[in-house]
Amino acid sequence: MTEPPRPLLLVEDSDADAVALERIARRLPMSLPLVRVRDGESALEYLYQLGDYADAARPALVLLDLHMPGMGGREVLSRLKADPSLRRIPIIIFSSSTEPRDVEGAYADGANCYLFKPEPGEQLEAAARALQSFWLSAARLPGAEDPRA
Amino acid sequence: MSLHAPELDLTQCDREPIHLLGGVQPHGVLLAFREPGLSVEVVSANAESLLGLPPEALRGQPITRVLDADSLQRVRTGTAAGPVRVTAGGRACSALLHLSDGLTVLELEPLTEDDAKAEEDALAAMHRLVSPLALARGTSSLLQSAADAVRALIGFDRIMVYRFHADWHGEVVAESRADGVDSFMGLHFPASDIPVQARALYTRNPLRLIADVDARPVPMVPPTLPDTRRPLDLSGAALRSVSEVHLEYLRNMHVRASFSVSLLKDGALWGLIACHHHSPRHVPAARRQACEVLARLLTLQLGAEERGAEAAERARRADLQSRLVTRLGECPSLPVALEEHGALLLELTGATGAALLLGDLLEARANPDEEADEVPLLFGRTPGEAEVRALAAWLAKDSGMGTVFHTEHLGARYAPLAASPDVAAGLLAVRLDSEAPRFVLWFRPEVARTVTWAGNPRKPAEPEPGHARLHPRASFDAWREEVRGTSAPWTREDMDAAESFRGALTGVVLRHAAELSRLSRALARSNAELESFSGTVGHDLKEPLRGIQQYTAFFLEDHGDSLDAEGREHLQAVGWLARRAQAMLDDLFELSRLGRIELAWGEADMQEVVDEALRTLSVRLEERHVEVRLPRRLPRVACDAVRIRQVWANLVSNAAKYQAGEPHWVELGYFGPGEPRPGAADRAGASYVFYVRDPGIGIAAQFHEAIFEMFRRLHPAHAFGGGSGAGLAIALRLVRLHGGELWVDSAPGQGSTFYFTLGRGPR
Repeated sequence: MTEPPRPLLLVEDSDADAVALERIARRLPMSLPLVRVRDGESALEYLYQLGDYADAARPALVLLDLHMPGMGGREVLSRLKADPSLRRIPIIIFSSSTEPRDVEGAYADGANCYLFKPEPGEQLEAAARALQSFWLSAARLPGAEDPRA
Repeated sequence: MSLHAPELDLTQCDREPIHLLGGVQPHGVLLAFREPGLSVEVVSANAESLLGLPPEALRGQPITRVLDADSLQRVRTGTAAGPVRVTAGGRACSALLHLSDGLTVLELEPLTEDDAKAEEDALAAMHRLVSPLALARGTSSLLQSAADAVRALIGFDRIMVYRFHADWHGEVVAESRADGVDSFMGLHFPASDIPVQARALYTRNPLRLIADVDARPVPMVPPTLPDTRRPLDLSGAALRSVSEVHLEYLRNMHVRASFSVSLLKDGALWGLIACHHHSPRHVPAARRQACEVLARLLTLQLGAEERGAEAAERARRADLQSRLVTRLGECPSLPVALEEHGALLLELTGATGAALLLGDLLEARANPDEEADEVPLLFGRTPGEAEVRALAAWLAKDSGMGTVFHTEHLGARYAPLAASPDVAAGLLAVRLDSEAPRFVLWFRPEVARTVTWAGNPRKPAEPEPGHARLHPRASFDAWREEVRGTSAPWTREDMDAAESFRGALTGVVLRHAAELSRLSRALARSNAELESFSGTVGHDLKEPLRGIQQYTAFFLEDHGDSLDAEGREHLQAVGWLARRAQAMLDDLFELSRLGRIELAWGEADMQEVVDEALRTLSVRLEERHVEVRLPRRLPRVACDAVRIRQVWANLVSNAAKYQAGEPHWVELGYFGPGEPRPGAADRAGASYVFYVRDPGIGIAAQFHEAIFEMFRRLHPAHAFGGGSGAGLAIALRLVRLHGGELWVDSAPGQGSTFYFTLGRGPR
């Protein structure tokens, strides 16, 4: 029996943004499967393997939108960072907000990275490429096997 | 009171039972009989001289042996109006009747030839007296007329109108005297000169004649009443003999006859008409009566004059107050209103300085940057701010004041200001808040003055060794005392005006406070609404626009090839419109944030600020082949560098945008202090004027203002790069946040120059 592959968890309420990322992911050499949930509550259910997500694999990386209906990204972030069993998972905030207090606040709550959602079109693809090349190939993520092995 | 309270009223003096001396003066006869049998029980020892019968022969007899029933009846009905002329013992007499110790007391005074005329004279005299009174205007001339009238009627050497002060010391306020008689005008007499029980007698019995200081008092027969075992109470008797102390006092003044009429205002002793004569002198009962009527008229007139003056004064204060309160109410800021109308505030209580301690209520508006520490508002001549604050703290904690406090000698009550009598000898204070030290304080300066005492007020009487009885002082040489450190006294009107202003001010303050809190609630509400609006604009509205852009892009990617050219154009237009709407939302969001930002003032190298701005624009500038011209290095200035960078970026991108002919260029520069400036660049008071110039299409004069309005564009949306029209509005707001101005000099086809200044830096 093999471990299920560790996915990249996308927490995003905007279908358009999610669809765009999924389109890009299909074209990039993405080593991880992309799993999407639509809101903060679902993200926590996924991470704690509750309800429909009882068999969910622990993600290698979380891409977290900040402004979502219901539980916001900041709350999800601080809950994860307060839990010793989850706080090692790198969390990348992915938001259209350029407000300094959102940026500062996210880092204060323990975000590992803050990315502005770029304008639709080519810039989004560039951001996705950068994400892929840094986080999924250059960076060594916790709990992953050495890709060179 | 500002004057010394002399160590007076030696209790022994106050206790002397002057109404029970048990004797009468020898110029009349007294008989007391019991109703209803009319039997005589007490007789003065001198009865035989007038009635031809010794006391023993009269006691037990009906009074009708002296006065026939008819005369007795006339005396009974007449006495209330004055003495009645009767015949007793065969002689013409004036008769007076009153009740005492359950007995009816009859006093008989023989009329001389001259005295007989008195009754006829009395009415004529009344006319003479009343006419000048009616003509007199003002209190002092009224009193002078009264003194003159009394002297004309009774012919004494010196007639004084003597007025009691609040501490019962007296002052001679009017005088009429014969030639060669010393003046007592303006002298002050200590309260002990007329002790408590004497004042009580003056109130009960307004007339007092001592016809001869040296006359021996006539004893009563019997000396005590059998039922009370005390002498008959003679306080209602005109003939009552006189206390030895008083007689000695008069002798010391070389007075042989004395007559006084009480001046009673509203039932209280206001003063005396005191008459002195240097030889014994009898005043016929009818003239005495005339003097009493005069005294009544005088006090009525005094009351009317005083009430008139008071009413006028109250009307004046009410007018002052209503003007003041109206203006305070009209003005949006109370401190400003008070500043403008400080003179009214002083006039209200006749003060030379005033301080208002109104608490943080007003501080919030007057000095938003100040700490909560109270800053008093000062008008006219007052102690310094810190001293006023300390005084308020004392008033609030240690003075024991209620809502109003006043003193004419603040230095004696509050030592820290004892050295400042030139500004604060007198203090009138009203308290605005029982919880906090909030006051209105009025100050008056010292009025140095001299009080002349008729003798040393600190030594009113000398105890004589070995004798229980006191002797009044022998010297009446004026004893001058300089009174220092005291202000003019605060009057009832001053205090009433202060209290009434307190009420009005409390109302105004409360109204202002209510208005302030209403405004701040409204502001908080609209801020919250704006915040949530901005949030909506900044995120929720942008998301659908992003979606439109995404899906049109996906559709073009996936199916573009199967569309014709028109179909592709339409889809591209949808994407363009969505981008455009999103850009406008971003600008609107940015502009709304500017209302809330705090500038981070610092010293900035304007050259670096500009370089940074140009770097962010470099792609666009290169695209449009715009040459950037920098004639000279820009200076260092105080500003919020990040915000000013935004201003430069907006102006430069604008300048780059609206260019038609070649070559394209933008010039950035400044005019420094003292450098000549073209007219359009000149702004008074600005040390630096920065500018951004382009050779572009220019702007007609009628639009020079409009271009700074939000979303106001002069060109079609697609022309000149399709700006949202927010850039200049944002730049203007940023410059104004700095306290500066932004304006344009331009004409169509002549290019444009935008100028801006930076204001005076952080305040």
